[in-house]
Amino acid sequence: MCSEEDVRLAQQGHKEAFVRVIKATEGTMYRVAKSILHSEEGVADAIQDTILKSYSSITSLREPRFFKTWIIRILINRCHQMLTSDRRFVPLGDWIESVEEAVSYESVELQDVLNRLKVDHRVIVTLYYLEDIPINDISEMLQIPAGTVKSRLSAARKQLVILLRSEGEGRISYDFH
Amino acid sequence: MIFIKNGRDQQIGDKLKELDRGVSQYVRSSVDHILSTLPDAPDTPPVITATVGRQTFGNKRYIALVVAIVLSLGIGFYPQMIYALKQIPLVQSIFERIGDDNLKFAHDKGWFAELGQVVEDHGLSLQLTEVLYDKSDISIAFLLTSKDGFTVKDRKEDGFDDIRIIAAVNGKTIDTYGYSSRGSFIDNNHYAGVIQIKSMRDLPHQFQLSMNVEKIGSTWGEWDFSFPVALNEEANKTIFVMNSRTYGNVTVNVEKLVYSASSIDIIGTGKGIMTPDWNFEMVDEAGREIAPKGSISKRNITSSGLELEWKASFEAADSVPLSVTIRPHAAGVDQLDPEFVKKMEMTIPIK
Repeated sequence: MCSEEDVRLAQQGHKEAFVRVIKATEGTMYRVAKSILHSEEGVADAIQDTILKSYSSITSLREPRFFKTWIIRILINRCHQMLTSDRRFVPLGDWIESVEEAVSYESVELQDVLNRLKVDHRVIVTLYYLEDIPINDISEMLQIPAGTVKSRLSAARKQLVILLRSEGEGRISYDFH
Repeated sequence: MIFIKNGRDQQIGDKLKELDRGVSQYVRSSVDHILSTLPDAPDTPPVITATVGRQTFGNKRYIALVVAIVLSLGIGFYPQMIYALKQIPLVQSIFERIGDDNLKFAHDKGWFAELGQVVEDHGLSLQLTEVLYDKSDISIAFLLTSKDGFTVKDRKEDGFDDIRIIAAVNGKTIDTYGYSSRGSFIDNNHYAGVIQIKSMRDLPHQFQLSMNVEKIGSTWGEWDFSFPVALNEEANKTIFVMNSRTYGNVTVNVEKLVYSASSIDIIGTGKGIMTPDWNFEMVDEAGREIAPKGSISKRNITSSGLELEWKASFEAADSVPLSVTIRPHAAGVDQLDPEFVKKMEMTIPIK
């Protein structure tokens, strides 16, 4: 967890404090970027760009307690920019090996579940379920109304219930609220 | 709508959290690297140590200024260095070493323009020796020198794991491009190869290319180059095809074929491209397969749905074929409908 004190120190120019806050949010940044970009290279690029941008503009953050919301917003914007920009030329012969790590069959299945959601839903699902971020904070990160977050989450939840049905563990049923 | 995280949300969250394998080592390393290069004060640019000649400079902008001064004052320096490079028999045969007869042919014809730029960073000296733009690719031959010898990790098989670049034309990042690199170790301190940059769209006939190399093998750094590039008109032929094929809801338009020293490219657009993912395979008039190099594409969301711009690239043949035939092909276990393949097939005369 990144401390407000470290954020304040980082704003005063303490590089080590900035490194600490980045390392504390590294996991969140990774999961969010991965929900948008998929490739490890793209994720690494997006996070690097976000770190550089946040380092040079951290003094513009008014409330240190909103650091996580602020940096994730920068990251999401960068990811969306990359989505609409160029794609890599991928030769079919000798080429760089994939940096994707080997995963268990079960993990592939669950990742496949997430990948079947729309990008907009995937990000919200990642922030809400994996990062336990409240809806108002998600709204702030994505710069969309809280009502939109709720409706997308509701749609994603219906799809997730269907996709996550498992024989051994029983059904996950869903009731409208 | 009231949205409360209930027991079912907890179930969903728990199931999804099982996904979490943590940050990959690849991303963790890249984060650690960028954090290590941060300056002590946030409002100055990152300090990248690079060497020009024998001096070391700590600031990227200063490096650019010094390089500009060296280039303007030392006009005789680079031709002398090029002459010195050519004395190394191994450098003379970069194209032979990488087994590219077509690029060697282009080199022997004098189609390549000489370059003489060298940048050193993190103990790796990257020298760009010559460049050819033949409308398909910007091919840049290079020599890489490691003072301390290449690491075991980088000497994997016969090439580097990874050379990562960012390319810009006249100061602007190329809209939709890709690149590849291949080469060969000369000895434990030298590696020679070719970087090829492919743009989705046509580039100007003359332009200033900026190429920033961010990573060579396992080494992150900054090797920044900028040089003029001009299209070699002798090295390419464009055939305007302007032909379409439709099957079901899939339409493919082949706009042109570019035959060049480095590759055969077919360029077009498509609608309703379906899964499984497929690409084109190409054979000559005798049915011999022309090896694919890869493809690049860009998706556009329009009012009529998803449209794709694509460019599929194939190895330049040893001799110009009379015609080529392209047809859909899917790698792996997914098979395409034979009727679809037959309907989408197209023969393009070249000679």
